Amino acid sequence: MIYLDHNATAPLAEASREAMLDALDLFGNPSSAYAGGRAARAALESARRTIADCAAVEPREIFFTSGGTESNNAAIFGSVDPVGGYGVAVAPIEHSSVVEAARELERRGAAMVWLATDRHGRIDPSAVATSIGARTALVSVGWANNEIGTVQDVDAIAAICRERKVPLHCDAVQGFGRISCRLPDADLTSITAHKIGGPKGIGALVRRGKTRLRPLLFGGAQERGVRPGTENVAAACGFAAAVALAESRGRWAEDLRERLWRGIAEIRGATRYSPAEGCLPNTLLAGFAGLRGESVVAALDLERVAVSVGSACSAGSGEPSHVLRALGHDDESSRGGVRFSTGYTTTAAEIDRAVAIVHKVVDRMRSVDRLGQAEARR
Amino acid sequence: MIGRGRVVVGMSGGVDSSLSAALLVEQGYDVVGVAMRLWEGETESGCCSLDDFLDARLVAERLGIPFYVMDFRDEFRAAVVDNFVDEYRRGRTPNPCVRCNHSVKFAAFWNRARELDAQWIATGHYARRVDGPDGAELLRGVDPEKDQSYFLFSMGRAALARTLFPVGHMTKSAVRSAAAQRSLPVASKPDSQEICFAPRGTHAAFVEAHSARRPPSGAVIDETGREIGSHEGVHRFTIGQRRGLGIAAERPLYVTAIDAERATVQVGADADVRSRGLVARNCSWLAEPPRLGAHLAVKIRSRFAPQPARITEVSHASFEIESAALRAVAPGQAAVLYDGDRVLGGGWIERSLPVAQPCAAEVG
Repeated sequence: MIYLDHNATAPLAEASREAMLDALDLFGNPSSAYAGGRAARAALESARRTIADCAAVEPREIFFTSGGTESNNAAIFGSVDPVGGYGVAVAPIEHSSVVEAARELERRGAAMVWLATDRHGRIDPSAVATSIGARTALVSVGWANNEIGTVQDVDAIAAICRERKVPLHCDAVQGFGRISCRLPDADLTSITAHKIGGPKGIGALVRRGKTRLRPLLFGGAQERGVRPGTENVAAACGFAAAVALAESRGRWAEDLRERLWRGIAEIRGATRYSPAEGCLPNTLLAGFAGLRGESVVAALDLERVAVSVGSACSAGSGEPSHVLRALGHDDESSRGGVRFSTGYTTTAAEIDRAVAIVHKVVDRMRSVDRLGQAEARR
Repeated sequence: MIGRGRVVVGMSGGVDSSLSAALLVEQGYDVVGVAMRLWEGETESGCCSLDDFLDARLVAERLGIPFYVMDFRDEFRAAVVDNFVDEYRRGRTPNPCVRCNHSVKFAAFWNRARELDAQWIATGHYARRVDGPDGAELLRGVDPEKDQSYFLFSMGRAALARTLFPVGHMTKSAVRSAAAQRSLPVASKPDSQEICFAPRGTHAAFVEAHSARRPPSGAVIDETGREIGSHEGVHRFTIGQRRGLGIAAERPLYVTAIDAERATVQVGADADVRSRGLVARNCSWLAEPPRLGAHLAVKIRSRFAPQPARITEVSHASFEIESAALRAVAPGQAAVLYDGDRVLGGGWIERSLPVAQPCAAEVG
């Protein structure tokens, strides 16, 4: 299989697996007073410190969660009080765990502000300034879009938010460890382990300084009361190992993505939706005129190439991509997106094989003898 | 390619399509399962619900076959739902299942299957496809209670040639026990309802909800044209309907005619619902059209046994038949012609031939 869906998840890194296997035997509860508990606590805090060092934040600013979706929800619901009529400003292209959380706040009475983007999904920082209203309690901006790959200038947006005294949340799930391990300058930042070779089921919400954050869960002092519940020590250790690995590798190269696009661009009617500049180094969202993304994905799967139509969180629904639609594409184009995302383990030979298979599959799909086309019968 | 080629099975999560997939795997096909997302129900458990797709996915996992959910909502709305609403508003009685087979399953679905390099498609319909001297033939399913060949008359010969109906030679109870034998998790799942998007008894509300303007109310008249009551829209009626007329009468009354333009519903006695024949248009054939004068059988709605009939006019596009046994011929329904077990084709009922008129001259 050629795996080109790293934006959905990445294969488990060997270092991460080993760290978890070691930690699995630390069965003590990190909150317990005796030696076994202390050993587990030490492993947990060591993991927290590793992640904090790589991210250039303080260990006490990291709150482990179950992953990106929880971190995004915790940031949004923990910052905005809809009863007071306060609201959140987000762009419609954000991940569904941000957009749907914001919509739920709106149903509960919050005021929503939709941030405008350009055709590639870029948010103009100066437009954020004009969008912030008196009742805006939070601005939420993705670092890099999971579907189209567009990278935002989060630091510039952060400067504006600071000036306006509105906290900024950044969904950094796709950018963390790929653009950099160093986090953008947001008050609240969501990160996750499994996009960079760590285990699923663990992530973190990073809270800078004294940013206000009400907990969503109650019942324990773990994670300093912000996120109670017995900690998943082994997953935290796997997360830390994956982050350390990402840090050691530095910024991802774009050459495999460009190699892929050069091959795909030769196909008639191929469109590149992802921006050529200011994009995640591993992400290419493309379309093939006349073909549905879900069918291309299925046909490629049968040829053992794994890609997706966009977010795995909405895959299989047949919905046109909410990202492409928000960027002004019609329903047909918005159903046509196919997302290729490379990873650490991807090789140039795999890219070349994938290109050949995409050519074959698209040609075949376009040459099908179709039934019912001419019949517009009542 | 494995053995007998690739087949894409339409998997609804029900027992019929699940067993179909299992049988094809056993027969050596390279099987791919596809669930068709047709409609968004208002409830979690209606048609195309998440539960159904989960069931289909579970079965596919058990069989070890690839499985995909594909979106056909636009095609379904355009070809099936809009037509359903229009037909009722025009005072006719639509048949959405035939239209779905015609435009969605054996056109759009077929095309998507071809995109996946399939040589065949398969569904869980109770009908049989056999190879005859002139190509594929469509036969009734062996279970008379479950036979669905009526709904397939307009699938077209090209699609029929490439379609497999793995359970058409089985009875429903045999299907259930075969599914149980194979531990398919859906072996005892209840049968689906007739019209998947508008549950029985709710079609009038559905038509109203999907109409820009509510169909106008109007008069109920008797055989003589005398107004004897009122109604809330012609979409609430079908020819032969007895219940829900809202009229107290000493004799049983049946809907005998619907005039959407004047918004009138005519009622009469049982004898007035009978007819000596019908005219059907927009025909589709799965065999050569029958000869004039041929003695065949006709089926005029899904729950109606085929009745002897004689062809009195025929062309590729339309036919007229006479039959002694027709009752409640409803424009908008399909009239399907059978020669024994074989489906020859059919058309959409345009009108019935009233009993009172003198018969046309006998021909052939």
